[in-house]
Amino acid sequence: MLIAFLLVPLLGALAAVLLPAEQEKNARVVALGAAGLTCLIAVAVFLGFDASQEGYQFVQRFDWIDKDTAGFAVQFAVGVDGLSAPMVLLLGILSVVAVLVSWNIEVKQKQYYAWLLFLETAIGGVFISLDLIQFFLFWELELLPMFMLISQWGSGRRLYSATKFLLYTLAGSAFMLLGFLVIGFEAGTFDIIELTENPVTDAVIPLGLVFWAITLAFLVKLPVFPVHTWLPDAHTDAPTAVSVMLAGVLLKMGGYGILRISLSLLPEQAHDFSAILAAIAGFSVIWGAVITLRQTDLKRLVAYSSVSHMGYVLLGAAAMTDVGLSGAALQMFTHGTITGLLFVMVGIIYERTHTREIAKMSGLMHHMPLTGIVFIIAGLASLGLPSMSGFVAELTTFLGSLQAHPAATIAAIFGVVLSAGYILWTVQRIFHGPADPAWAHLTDARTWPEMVAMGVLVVAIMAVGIYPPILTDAIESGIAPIAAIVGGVA
Amino acid sequence: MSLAEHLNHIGPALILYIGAGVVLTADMFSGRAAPRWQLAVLALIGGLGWTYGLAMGDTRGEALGGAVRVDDFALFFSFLIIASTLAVVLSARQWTDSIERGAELYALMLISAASMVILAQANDLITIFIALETTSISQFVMAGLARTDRSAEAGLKYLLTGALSAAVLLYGFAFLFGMSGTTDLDGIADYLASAPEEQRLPLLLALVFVLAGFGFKMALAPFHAWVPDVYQGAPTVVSSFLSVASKAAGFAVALRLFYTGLGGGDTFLSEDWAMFVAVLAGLSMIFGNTGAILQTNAKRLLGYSSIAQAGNIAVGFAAVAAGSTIGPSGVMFFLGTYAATNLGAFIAVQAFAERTGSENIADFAGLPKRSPVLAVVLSLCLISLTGIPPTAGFIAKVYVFNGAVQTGHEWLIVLVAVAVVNTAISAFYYLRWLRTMWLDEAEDDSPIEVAPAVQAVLAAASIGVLFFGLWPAPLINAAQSAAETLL
Amino acid sequence: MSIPEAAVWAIYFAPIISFLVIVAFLRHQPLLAGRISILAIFIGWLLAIWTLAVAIDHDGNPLDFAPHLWMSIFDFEVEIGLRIDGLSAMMIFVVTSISLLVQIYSVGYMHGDTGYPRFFAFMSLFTAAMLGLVMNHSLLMLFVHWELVGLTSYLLIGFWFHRPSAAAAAKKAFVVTRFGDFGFLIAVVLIWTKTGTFDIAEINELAHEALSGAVLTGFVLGLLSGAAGKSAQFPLHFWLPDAMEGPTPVSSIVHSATMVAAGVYLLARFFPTVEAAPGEVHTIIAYVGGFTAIFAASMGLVVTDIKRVLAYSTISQLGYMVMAIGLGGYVAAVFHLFTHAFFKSLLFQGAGSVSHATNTFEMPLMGGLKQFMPVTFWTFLIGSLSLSGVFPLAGFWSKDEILLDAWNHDKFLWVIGTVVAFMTALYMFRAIFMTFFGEYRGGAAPEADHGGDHDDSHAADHDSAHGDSHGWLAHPHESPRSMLLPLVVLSIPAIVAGLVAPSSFFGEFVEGALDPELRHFHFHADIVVVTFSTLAALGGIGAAAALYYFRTPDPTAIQYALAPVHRLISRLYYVNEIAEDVLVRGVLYNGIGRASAAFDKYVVDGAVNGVARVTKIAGDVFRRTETGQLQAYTSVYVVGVVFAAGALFVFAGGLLDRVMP
Repeated sequence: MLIAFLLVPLLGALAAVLLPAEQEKNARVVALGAAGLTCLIAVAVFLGFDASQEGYQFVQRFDWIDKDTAGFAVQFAVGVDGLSAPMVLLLGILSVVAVLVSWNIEVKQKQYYAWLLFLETAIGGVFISLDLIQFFLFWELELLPMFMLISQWGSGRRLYSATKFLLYTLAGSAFMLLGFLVIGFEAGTFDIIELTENPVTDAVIPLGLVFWAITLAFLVKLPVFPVHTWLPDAHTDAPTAVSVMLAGVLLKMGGYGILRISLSLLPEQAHDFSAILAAIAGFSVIWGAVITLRQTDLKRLVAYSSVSHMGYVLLGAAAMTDVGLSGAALQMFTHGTITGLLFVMVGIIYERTHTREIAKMSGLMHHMPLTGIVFIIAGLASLGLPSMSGFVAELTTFLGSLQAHPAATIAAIFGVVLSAGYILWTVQRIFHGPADPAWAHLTDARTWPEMVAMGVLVVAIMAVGIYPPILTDAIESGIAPIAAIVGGVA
Repeated sequence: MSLAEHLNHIGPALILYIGAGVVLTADMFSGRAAPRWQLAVLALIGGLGWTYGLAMGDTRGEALGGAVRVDDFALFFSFLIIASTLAVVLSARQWTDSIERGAELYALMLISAASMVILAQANDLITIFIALETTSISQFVMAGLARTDRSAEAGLKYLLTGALSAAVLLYGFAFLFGMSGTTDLDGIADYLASAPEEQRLPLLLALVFVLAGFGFKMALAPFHAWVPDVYQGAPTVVSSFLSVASKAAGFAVALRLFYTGLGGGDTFLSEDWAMFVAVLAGLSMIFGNTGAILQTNAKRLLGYSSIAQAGNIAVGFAAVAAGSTIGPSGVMFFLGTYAATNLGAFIAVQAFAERTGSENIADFAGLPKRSPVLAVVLSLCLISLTGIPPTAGFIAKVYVFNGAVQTGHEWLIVLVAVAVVNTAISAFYYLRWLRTMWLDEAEDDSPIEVAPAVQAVLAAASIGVLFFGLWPAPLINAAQSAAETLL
Repeated sequence: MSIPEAAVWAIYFAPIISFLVIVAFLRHQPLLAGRISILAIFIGWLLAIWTLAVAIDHDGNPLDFAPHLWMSIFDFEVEIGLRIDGLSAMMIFVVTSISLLVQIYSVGYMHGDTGYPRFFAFMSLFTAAMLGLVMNHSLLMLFVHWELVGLTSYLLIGFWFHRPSAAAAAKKAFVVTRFGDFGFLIAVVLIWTKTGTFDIAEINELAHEALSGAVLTGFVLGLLSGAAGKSAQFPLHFWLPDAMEGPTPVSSIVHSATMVAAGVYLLARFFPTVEAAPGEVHTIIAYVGGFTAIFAASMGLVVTDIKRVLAYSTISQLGYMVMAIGLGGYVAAVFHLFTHAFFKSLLFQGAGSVSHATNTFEMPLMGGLKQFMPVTFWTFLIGSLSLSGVFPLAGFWSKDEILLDAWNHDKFLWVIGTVVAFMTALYMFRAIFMTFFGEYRGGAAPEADHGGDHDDSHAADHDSAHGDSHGWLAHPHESPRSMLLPLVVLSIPAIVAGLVAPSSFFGEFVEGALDPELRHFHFHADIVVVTFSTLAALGGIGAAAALYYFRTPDPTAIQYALAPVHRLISRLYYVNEIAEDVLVRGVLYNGIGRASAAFDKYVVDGAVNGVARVTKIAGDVFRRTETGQLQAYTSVYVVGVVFAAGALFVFAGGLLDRVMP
């Protein structure tokens, strides 16, 4: 099942490149087929996942490098638990959306869709890996497609941004590998399950160092202050679909890593440093929000808001209470759908206005009402309006973290006010105001790919917002063991 | 032990030597018409076959009065060396047909390769030195073969610095001999086992000299200075030969000497040795990678990159010296995959340069349009050199670094930290090249056709890169069993 | 007598359904949309009366409905359940009644507006959210709907989003109230962290037994912050006047009768907890209310836009209620909330009717409307008298309750309250004299496009619907029946709603929401208080007559005499400037924001790029060591060897030990 989840997009990618040149146009059809099928698998996994029991399901293992010959064992092992199942679902959904929003790209379509699907496989592998080395493998695997997609199909200073993204991530993950190796050396295994059951207690170098060596990579990915500056550039110059994937699932790799590895494998160290993590989180929320207020480029604005919102994930993680961790997990999913939708909307607007300068737009509501309404829905969700998924996640996070980190939590709550500010101000500047004849030619987002993309995400946002148990049951079963581990330390 | 058996032990090398002779003779009689290329290929295939035969058979142990020994270790490297030489030769025809001294090239290359094989088998300081010199001298000449100033200059530089290193190496050997009174590695080992503590310093000094000598072959900083000029100046065929076969031989002999001669990771020398190697490794990675960042010439860049890669391998070597059990196989695995990767890269560059007459990275723009094969292979190799999955380079790095961490020495973990940071740096120039290739528009997009033989080599290389990336087990097993004969 | 839970929920879901139906199917059928919406709220109203009857039958004691588990993550459980008692039943009744009347009113008022269906959809949504706010049993659900009414308020203020001023006002309203909700949300999180429950009743109990003074202080102040935002208490009051950008029916329900009263409802809902909090907290609440009352009233005296007069009056009256809560006057606050809802809604609709005729809200452009629109005049007069607290109208009773509490607890606040009563009468009758008496001053020219800042502009539509664009200037006409009916209906409770007071029936009913030991309401009137308040009211009316009818002394003269004061007040104490220009634009946007952005760009990102640059430079340096000079190479080599040997001697060789033992 999960193997298929990884293979289908990969094969889709192959099929896309191998298309004969005159079939170039059909690459998107292939991509949609592959992504759609993957999405179905993801849904099947999520529905088939039995939330009533903890631990991993759909587990499949293969020896990859075996201990007797190599002296160390690396296995190819996949499985989902309540933490990864929602991520798998999210990835499935967003990949389809990503294909749909790139329906009209003209340049080198075969390559484009191939890289896009390849990216899906890479990210999917991160979410379902049960072995550290394998986790690292997929973690690195994602670099290539991202680099290619941004630097080739991007805009503006795309090479600079792509390289920046690449080096930032590599610099982070470099130490992650080091940390993994040290842990593997101490425990004699890279198996995440074993390592979770009996965490290493000491190592040749202080485990505190190991913790940061590993966590740094995750903080970079989230990202949080002060290692966030790659994000605005990457987003601004990336094509829409890549922004969707980037904000939607790629950042989640960071949060996922923190929960799955930093906290689970090094609970004591995590506990020792929780105050620092919380401080970083609280600060990032405010920092990101304040800078968002100043942005004049629509896409950059959404990007910086991500910095602010991913701060909640770290805050929930730093709380290290069951509720707080659940909040983090929820926030990962909801931010994925919400910011994903926001980027879809930005793309739709950009495709028509050919500008992202907020100052240049006004009164678009008159010409693109549907776009405006969906954008407002996404915005309201992003500012944490009840009845939408963002609120549930943020509230859960706050409930979990106030006791442990009052100051950081209050700072984060203030972020909610700021987000209301920049979201509504943006809506006002772009959509409200008298009709501007300059934009009279704009057509509303009514092509079927756009409608489907928006529809899927809006439904996801509202459904989780109105009936959270869709996710919370699974997440609870996934968080319970982690909470037990980190809670046990306290 | 009959002569036949003796010869059987050194069969692979022997075939190559003979092949060299045949090529020259053929050339002497029928000149350019001579099938020198075919003969060279034949010889190499023969050598490969013989090595395979030895590996399958049970011929093991010393020969020629202990001068050489056949064991899995030696066979692993013989195979590696001959195979990569074969790859180089297969891709060399295009160029050798364009110069009148093609025969010499093949002959020299065969001799050099043969000597490397001996080097891998050598079990005696004298054998080592002679074999080493034979390889080197033929390489000096090869480097200068192309009748261009650059080539000549490269040859000369290589020759002189090579001579220097040879001298230093000889110093080291002299020390060892002077103290142990024997040139036989096992003898030296016995001596060390009982060596008094006060012999430590002279021994260490000897060690420095020896490593300086080998460092030259492995292209480790600070004994690397010749590399960029020679790689750029020498004919690409030769450069690729140097970057793979020569490097492999260097590490082979170093490993052999260290284990058999200096008693492995458990003498009172090993830690100092390890630290020394670690320093060289660190220097090489930093010099190589930072130096490569601003390069615009493909061959020169690969030169720097091969210094950096030598540093990576040396990380494993340091781990070996520090007593890691994963170490030696790590080094061998790395060398194996590196051979495939680097050959792929070099031969692709060579094929490109021969057609376009340019080695500028900028001119690789639009390569996928001009020659998909070259583009794909080169990309794969660059990705592998960076160490990004799913290529062999990734596994190799993880393998070697893991070996270093497994020793549990803080300072080795620091070294690995340096190494991983360098990986990030290297990504910068490797992937920039990649991007130029795929994304920039070419001003001239005339197709580049690649000779079938070269295509075959490239295909083999890229298959190796991918296969060992996805399924490293076979190579790991080979490396392990080879390593065990040392331990 | 009892009522099934489903019936109560139906009150809540009826408008939701109408919202969904309109959005889904009736986007282009205005009439049907309006009818569906009104039908839904009418059903809700009937059920509300049933609920009210049942609640009265229980003497306002909470009916028992078991809550339902909605979601749970570990200890964080969300239950959905009803809390029907005197307080909420009364609120439900008020909300449904006024919503019904306002929507009927809107049929005429919004006639011809392009966004007609959208208007009714939002109205339904608002009604639903407001009902959810008052009928839920859990603080969390209260907060959820609290935010949702905020949303609908945003949507309705920005209803004419093409108008920059409206769009700005909508944003302002949401963000400023959000700012208050910052405290509210902290309170919610805090109370859950300490008690592990959201159940309002439980919290109110625990407040007395379990919770520490510090927690209570934090919690109640958090509630106050939320209430200040919603109920436009100083210093978060300044969004409400701008909210008048919305259509007048919206002002008349959202921004006078119901939503803005939600803050007071919140404090009343948690009255036991507020009681349990330390005394200082009470004082804070009382003085926030008292100050807001007089502060807003003073601005009501000078503004010339009739809707804004009413807006400031609303703020001022809400100040009264908050003050009452702070003084422990639970019943007084709730009672005033109750009566105020009717007459203030009435007044707003009156103002709407006036502008419907004159196409403006600027009183200087009106005048003499008495003869043109008698119904509007009389109903508006009733509303004003009631608001001014003239015996025996509704306002009199409820206001006196508050003044009485002030008299008993805090004489200073009583003085303030009485002064406010005077000012209230003054500004209301100033409005009446300027609007309905004297000569008609011609109104405003109709605008082709919806433009004028404080102008609902529907009159233009309405008028063009009638085809003659200037005929009405000479003699403005009375509004259509659909608008007059609600006026007339509303003037009834504006008159009689207070009469329930002496029977102390109302008091006991709403006290049913409290624990028995907190119920101590018994009606009594203090002759001093009554006298003074009546004098204040009559005095205010008299003063208004003198100034704005007989014009002796001439108000303009007084203006000149008090020029600085007048400027200060008419500039609304520069609160907007301070808040928007200084704090938001100055400090946050250009100060902190610019600094952070610069830091982010030049320091944080600069560091990153710096590292890259340094690496490149290093690369360049190393590259230059490759001079191509053979000597250089060999010397590098030799130096390397020598260094290595030296290092060995020094470290490994233990030379150091020998050199420096």
